[in-house]
Amino acid sequence: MYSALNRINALAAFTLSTLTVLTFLCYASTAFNDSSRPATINAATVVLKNVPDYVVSREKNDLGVLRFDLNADLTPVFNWNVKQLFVYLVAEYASEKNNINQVVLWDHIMRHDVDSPVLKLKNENLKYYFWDDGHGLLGNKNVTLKLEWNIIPNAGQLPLWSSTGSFKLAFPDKYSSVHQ
Amino acid sequence: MFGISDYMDYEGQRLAERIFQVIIVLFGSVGWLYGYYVQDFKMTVMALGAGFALAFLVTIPPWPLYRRSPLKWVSAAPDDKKKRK
Repeated sequence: MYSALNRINALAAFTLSTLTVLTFLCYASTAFNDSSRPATINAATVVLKNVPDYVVSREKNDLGVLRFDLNADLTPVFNWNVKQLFVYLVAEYASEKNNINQVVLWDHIMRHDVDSPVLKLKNENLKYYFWDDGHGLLGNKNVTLKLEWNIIPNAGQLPLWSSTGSFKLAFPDKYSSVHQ
Repeated sequence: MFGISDYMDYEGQRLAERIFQVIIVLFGSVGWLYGYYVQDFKMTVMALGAGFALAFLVTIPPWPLYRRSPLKWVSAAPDDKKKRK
């Protein structure tokens, strides 16, 4: 503390240590929040195809095509420790090949105070292809569509939360013709 | 520093350190509470930054406040050439 530079160093270090404590307290103030929210999901115009997935191999795999409605208000999920949410719609089902399949059909980055925290989609197209790695979708009456979100905080863990609403999707027992 | 003396006596250094600790903790606490109230952590960081600026102005320059307890040096002994061998 015998010189100005010495004092500046001490002051800066103390300030940054204080910032560390304040950031931890910010995390602690939101660590036990319940971030689950209801969502209404609906799917229509469901079509099932069986076509070669050229990216993987020449085999024919099941491809699901559908449009969906999505309504969810994620406003209460945001707090001063939330930087953004990574929201996605996932289709979960069991098949002969796998006990659990989870295919992300649509996603969205929802930034705090930049993007709208309310999701209101009608007749939306899928963002990603709904491929199965075999014939798991043929006649599958138990495909669950769920909305989930990953919280990206300012400080702390990145928890994954699920909506309380979901939609049960049923695929037809026959493939539709390829030329649609 | 910069050709100007930045000297503070020991009591002054002790006082300067105490003052900036109090300023930073105060601005940090109030800033945190305000940030929690408006749910915006940027406010907390900015409050801490304001505290840093204030503490800088109050405790870095060698104000006369920090020079009030100069060291009491013993007066110089007379130069006694006879004692040297």
